[in-house]
Amino acid sequence: MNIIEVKNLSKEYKYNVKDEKRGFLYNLFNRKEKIVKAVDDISLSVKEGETIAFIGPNGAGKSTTIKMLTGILYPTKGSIKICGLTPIKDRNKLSFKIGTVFGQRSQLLPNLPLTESMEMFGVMYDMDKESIKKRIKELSDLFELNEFINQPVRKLSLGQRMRAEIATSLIHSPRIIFLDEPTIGLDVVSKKSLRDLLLKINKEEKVTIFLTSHDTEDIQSICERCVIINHGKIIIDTLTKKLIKDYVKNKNIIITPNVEFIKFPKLPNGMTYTKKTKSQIIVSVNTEKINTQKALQELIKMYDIDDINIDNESLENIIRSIYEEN
Amino acid sequence: MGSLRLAVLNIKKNIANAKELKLSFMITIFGMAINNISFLIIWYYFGKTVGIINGWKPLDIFGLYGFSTTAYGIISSVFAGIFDIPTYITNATLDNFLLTPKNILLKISTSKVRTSAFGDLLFGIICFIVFTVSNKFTFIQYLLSLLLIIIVSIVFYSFSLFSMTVSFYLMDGHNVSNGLYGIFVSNSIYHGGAFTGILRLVFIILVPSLVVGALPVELVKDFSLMKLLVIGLIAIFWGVISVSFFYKSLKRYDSNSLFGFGS
Repeated sequence: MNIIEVKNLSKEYKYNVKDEKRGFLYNLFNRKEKIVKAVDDISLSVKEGETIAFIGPNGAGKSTTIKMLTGILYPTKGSIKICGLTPIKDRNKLSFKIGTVFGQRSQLLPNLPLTESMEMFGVMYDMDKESIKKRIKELSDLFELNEFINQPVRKLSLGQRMRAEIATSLIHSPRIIFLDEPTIGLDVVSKKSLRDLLLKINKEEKVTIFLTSHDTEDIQSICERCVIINHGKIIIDTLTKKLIKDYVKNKNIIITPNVEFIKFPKLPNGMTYTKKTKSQIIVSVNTEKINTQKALQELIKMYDIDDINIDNESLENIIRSIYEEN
Repeated sequence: MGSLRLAVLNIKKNIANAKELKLSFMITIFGMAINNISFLIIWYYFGKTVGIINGWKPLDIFGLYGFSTTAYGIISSVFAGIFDIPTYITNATLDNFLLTPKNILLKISTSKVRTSAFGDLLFGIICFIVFTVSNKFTFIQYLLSLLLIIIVSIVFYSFSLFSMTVSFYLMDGHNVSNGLYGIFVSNSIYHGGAFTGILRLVFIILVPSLVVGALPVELVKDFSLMKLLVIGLIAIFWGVISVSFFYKSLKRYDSNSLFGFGS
């Protein structure tokens, strides 16, 4: 069953532009409007329980799309169904089905313990006292909040606060959670712990995850599917694994010398040096021009090699090249 | 009912949230009460020196402050969220209210408490007591005053909401909203005798400053059903206008990602 169904969705923004050739008074009374298409005719379906990365460069239309999906913004054209509801018309009903976390914005009461904010959200979602208590206990265990649940929120570390934000957004057991940059500003340990928790809620509570992030580690470790948007249009919608497989055009061959590298001969077409030092060489191989086996043979002929490693191109590079191509 | 239950809980939690910083909580409340007393003294001596102006005696200034500051204190303490509408629009925090269930206006209104307004409320009540005792109020006058405080608070809430809602339409909404609100509030604590003719009409109907201060004082001193009806109708008028204006304007909200620009 599709939990998100988007058809031909567009959003236009209007703003005033002034005529540079005319003066202040003319521009004050004769304003021209310019229209910008932030989202341009996108269609998308998401099945219940899926984990989706909705990514794109800054200004691509990600946030505008999420804001339309959650009922904050009115679409200019197109239709949206989330859990069978139209967000802008059924905003109140929809809020019971979705949870949202915006990485840079807090919904918690800063001077009070986390339990107080969770209780307030429980009341907001019409939960009775017993259900709120039970759910806080479940979420505390799942998110390991017990060590700081009674501390004022302002005294929590950023990592603890993000765990608290996500736990609070799940108080009413939503079917989908929208996360906008949930790991922004976190250290590597906190990022890993948050990603593990998101995977856990997806598996244990069957919550559909719809995530935007500029951190490719978030995408790779959480999301099975990747939707890339640029200039308001969806340019790729595929499984994350397939994206990596299909778009890996380059492989990196890392070689270390028996003694040291002195000369760096010219490489055949399709092979380029990305690092040239006495102790290590990295060669980027374009697999569309030369296959890996042939490239290895060429390098063995040229150098006295002690060790060889072959790496796939990182997801970050793949995504960057997709953005650049589009 | 769910929205009301949430609003009450919101107010309780926000007061508890502010009370956590106990010292600043107490200093702000008493600081504001003392600040208000200085204004009152200036007005009182002004009235005493000048004498009766258009039927206004020096002690009536206590009534003026009693009504206007009590209404200001009630609205600005527990419904302080409305004064943050321009900020909520600018930094897109309005999203948080749209993403959760229950009545959005009630959620916004009760999203914040302004600690200093408790000081105003305290001051307003003291002024009101001085005014009623010095005028030897009857039981009926007390009841009428209570009804007027409710009506005046509605007008205060409505016009404040209207002023803040204007910011949906302007890039620099803060300035315009606060300017409009400033005109309303500052005129509500001016000596009632100063407003005559067209000026009086403007500040009763267009900017209802006199409805939250001067008119209630005149009404409790010299009751007229007509005046009570006018005050009631103005409260209904501004109540309907401001709430419908807010919901209409909410549709214009475009949740920008503008944060951290300017001051």
